[in-house]
Amino acid sequence: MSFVRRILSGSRLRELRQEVAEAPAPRSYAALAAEHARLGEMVEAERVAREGLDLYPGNSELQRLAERSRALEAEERTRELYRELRDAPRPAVWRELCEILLSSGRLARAEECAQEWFAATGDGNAQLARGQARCERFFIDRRRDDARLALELIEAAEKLLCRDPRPLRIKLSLFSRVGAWKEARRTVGQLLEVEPGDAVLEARFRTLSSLIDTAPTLEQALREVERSGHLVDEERPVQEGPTASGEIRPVLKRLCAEPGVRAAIYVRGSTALVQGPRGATAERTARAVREVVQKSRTAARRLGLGQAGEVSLEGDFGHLLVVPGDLGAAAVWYARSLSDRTRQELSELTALTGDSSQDPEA
Amino acid sequence: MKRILEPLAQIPGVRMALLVAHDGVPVVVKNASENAGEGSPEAALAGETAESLAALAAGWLSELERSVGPLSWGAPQRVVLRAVRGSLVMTHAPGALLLVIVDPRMSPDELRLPMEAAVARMQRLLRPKSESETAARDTTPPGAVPNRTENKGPAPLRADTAL
Repeated sequence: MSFVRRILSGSRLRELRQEVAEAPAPRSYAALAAEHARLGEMVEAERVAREGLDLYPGNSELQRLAERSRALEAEERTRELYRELRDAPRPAVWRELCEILLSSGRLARAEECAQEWFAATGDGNAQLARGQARCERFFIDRRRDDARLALELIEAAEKLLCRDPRPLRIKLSLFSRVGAWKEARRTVGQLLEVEPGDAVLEARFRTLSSLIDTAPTLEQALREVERSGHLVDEERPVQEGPTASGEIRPVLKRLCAEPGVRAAIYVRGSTALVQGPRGATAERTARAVREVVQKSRTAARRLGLGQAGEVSLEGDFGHLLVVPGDLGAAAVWYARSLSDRTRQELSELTALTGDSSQDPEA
Repeated sequence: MKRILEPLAQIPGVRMALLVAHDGVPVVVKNASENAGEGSPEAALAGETAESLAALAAGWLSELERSVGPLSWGAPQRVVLRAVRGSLVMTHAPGALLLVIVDPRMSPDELRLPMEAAVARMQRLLRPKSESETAARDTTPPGAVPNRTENKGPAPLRADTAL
């Protein structure tokens, strides 16, 4: 930055600081943070944005600025660490890089970095970072293979890092989140050997002991997570609650009235609403859509594509467009091309919450 | 075959293009990051990914066929799966499946034409030469004088030799 520009920006900063002091408002804090960011002072920009957030919690502009400054700071540090790794690779640099990549959600890169680290040093911490990255990936994608690989890596790290509670903590988190209570209890027992007398762990051990009678095996638990897409500790949507058929049926009718549309279907759990076909055909159509949704959700996860958003089939029967949502899935069977508005309506249908007391009907 | 998949793999946003047998065995794999070079760890990883991907996709397709079977629907000719981290587009090719994985920012509809073109090229390539020649011969009009080679039966006896 040139000398003149530095002087100009210095005076601008002074003005903005005075504005913040005299008339504190989200706008003045945001302006000051943005000016710091413009000058490349990301730490200062984040600090100002956080200060503003303390006074005006929930302000979206300040939140955005704080997150953006933090992300840019992390990016800058990542670049520096890569440079350092090229010149003088050592465990401390790898460790910091892995931590930054993990905290910023760049899991694939974190795993690659940990792999390089392990190949170079054979360090147990590298194996642990790999396991952690894979574990995080499992929590996002809910793919059974990811969980198995994560456990393998963590167990390998456990052997290398004797009496280190970190691998056990990660394992415990995985077992607890999938509902494998037997394995979770065993891990808590191991943790208590490492950290005896920990009151929280002891309480957890007692709670888990009461759950193991009906607990599924690890394999069963992982399969269930992959199938349903839900972890045990997640707040489940009102799966068994009443379907909002009062809201859904008019939308289905409207969809079905569109030219070329042969059927509009909404499935949720074991219930379905079908417009178009009647009787046994309606039942078969709903069952087919439900199966397509289930298989596609699992396939998307196993293919490493994450959560399924839309499935479309084309053939001699026409087109079937299915939109799986958190609560249910909506589908349209049509002969001609579908308008964007219809697609949009279908997505909105899956986002509807169950707040009606009307009984769903097949 | 590799040359047929080349244009598909070069489209920006396409991660991988594969030709897969119906039983899930990859026949041809074109990776967008193939510049890594053969024998490199990246290439080995891509190969491994392609194998599992092909098997999973083919398995999923047969599951879909079974799901829609009770409706007397035929096998889906084109299947698209959009997900958070990318999309999978599958279409039937002659004796195989053409499978493309794209980035989430790319619309699978953009691939419709290139994939159809690839399938058409495959069909042209797989059509046996002899078939095309026979087709060409069949279309030529019959000549005024019958062809000698076509006369396969024994030559008729002349009256004087028979006596």
